Amino acid sequence: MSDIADILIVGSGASGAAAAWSLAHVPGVKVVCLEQGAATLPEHYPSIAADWELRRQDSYNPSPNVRRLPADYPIDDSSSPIAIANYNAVGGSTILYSGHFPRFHPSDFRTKSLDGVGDDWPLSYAELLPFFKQNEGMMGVAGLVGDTANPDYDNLLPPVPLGPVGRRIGDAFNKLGWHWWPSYSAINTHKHQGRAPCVNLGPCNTGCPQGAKASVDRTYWPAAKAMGVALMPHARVSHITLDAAGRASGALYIDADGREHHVTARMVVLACNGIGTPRLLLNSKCPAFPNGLANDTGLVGKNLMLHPLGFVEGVFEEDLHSSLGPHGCCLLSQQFYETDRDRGFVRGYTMQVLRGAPAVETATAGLLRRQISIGKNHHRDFGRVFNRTAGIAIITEDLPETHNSVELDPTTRDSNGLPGVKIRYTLSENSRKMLKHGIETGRQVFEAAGGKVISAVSPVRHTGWHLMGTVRMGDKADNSVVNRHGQTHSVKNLFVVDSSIFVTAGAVNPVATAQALTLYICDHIKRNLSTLL
Amino acid sequence: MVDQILDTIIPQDEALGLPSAARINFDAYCAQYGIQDLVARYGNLVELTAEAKLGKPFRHLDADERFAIITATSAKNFRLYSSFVIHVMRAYYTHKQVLSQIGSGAVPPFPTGNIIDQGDWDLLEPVYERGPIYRAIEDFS
Repeated sequence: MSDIADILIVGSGASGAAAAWSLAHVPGVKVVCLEQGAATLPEHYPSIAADWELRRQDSYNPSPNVRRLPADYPIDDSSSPIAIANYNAVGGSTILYSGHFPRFHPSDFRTKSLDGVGDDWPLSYAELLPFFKQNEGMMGVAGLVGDTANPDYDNLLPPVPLGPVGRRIGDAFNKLGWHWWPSYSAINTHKHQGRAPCVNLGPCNTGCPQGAKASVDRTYWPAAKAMGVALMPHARVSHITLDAAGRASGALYIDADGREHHVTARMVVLACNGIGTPRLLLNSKCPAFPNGLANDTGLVGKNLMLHPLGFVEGVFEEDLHSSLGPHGCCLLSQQFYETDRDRGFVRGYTMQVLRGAPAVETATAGLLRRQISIGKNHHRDFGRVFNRTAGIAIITEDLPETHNSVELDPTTRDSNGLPGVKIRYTLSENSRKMLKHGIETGRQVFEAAGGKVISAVSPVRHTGWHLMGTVRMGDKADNSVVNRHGQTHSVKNLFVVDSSIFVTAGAVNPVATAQALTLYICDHIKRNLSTLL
Repeated sequence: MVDQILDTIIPQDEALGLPSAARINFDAYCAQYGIQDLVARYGNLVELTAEAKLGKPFRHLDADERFAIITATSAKNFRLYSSFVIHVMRAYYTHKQVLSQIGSGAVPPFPTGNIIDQGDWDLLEPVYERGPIYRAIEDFS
């Protein structure tokens, strides 16, 4: 069976959805998107039930190796201190993200010039700025303008409430004389784009049945489909195909019944994230590219960046109702974001304040740490911790290193027999120093807030959500895979629009920047369509 | 006997309105998560420990003795003990009555949700006053 598209998009997550919406604006162009996962049903999300903390641990688990759904592929991360997290469905990992949505800083695009590390991006913050704004309008971002660490915000929804725990920690940052700001949150605090406002369910990272969190199945996809984009779930792409002239001619995919199809396309756009995109390219071997499509330089899969994360948890004497409210969106500090060489490392980190742990997590972690007993003192001990905790996540900038990589793993197979992937990753000395610094500053925040630190860990293993750098962007074909417009150097009608093309990682959650970059690339495609198709 | 074990691990607290773990339909939880075998093995460990340490069946012990035996099982087989106790915590802290009493907000969270104080944005004045801290870049105006 064969289908025909003008533009074929592979992957329906954060970037695939934004690309579909943007490219759908071209009259007369047929856009098709293939997604290996299913469409999720919000009425099945865990937080519809009292036992949501248990329901999140199987089919909504962030680890594909735990979920083992038909759409998942095996990821061997045993050679990495950071385990990979993702979600394969319509909407991709935005189904399970927390919606923490800051932008990269202007300096993040110039790390080589400023600090002599990483590389400069072939484009600037200023060039992305209009697309940051366009994207934030589509997604709906809450926050507060005037942030002294982030320029140029001028139109945000009202911030997500701080609550008593946020006020307490904000006050602590003030005592220390450090920056803090209410989180940039992809969460509707008012009705926006036809979606309902947030009602503070709490576990945004298990899916939002309210529809207030901006997962792209609720934001970009309804608009893209209304403009005629054909979205095909349960369609796993195995190979990008080439024609005799060396141009991408479409893709082979396998449907839910295991049947193989070919979609013929005049342009192919990849948006499968920093692991799925190199996996597909490496699997698309052909005589012209025996080491994987567009992999002439051997850089596909290299330079994996994951944002090593530290975590400091503190407890307060007072009940601060801290388990209530959007868990990942409260406030952030970027006091230590920009380079200060006196700290002993280059680049920096964001401190993302997380609300308190829910009940099961409080009880089981407290038990294992011997902070909560069994027996007649159990209720007293539990009450001294529950609703009184908060966490500070230290999101560190990860510099590109070629030995950190994604490669095909011939020893594992997905449900269609395609190879899984092997992750090779080590922490750099710079990252270690940064994590140590962040843990120490996190301790100082809790001390200033009158709290007591009960846990401090780095790197936290199950935090590999931010998948970047493995199909890097650059002006020169000998040290990058795609150019400044996401176009592969070696196949002119093959584009990559997800965070795999990031040159450096910044020190913030990457979705806002990934989607802005997608819209920037699609704007270029639309302006040059006649020469590209 | 399982009820007595559950009651020892998490007893009732009348003042807080919290039930014993023996009153949360633990059987249904066990069936849902398929842990009947683990429960039986832990019950056996408790019984053997009671006989070995006090020469009596667990059900004939008083509250302090039961607590001592449950604690002693952790030294005999920590993996089995901790697996069982964690399952008790999971079952207990997903029970609607328990969640409602401990202040965990709406149960379940959806659709009611929770009201959170907006906050006092005057707290940000000191941050404003210190001025911009992002790095100036030449090609960024």
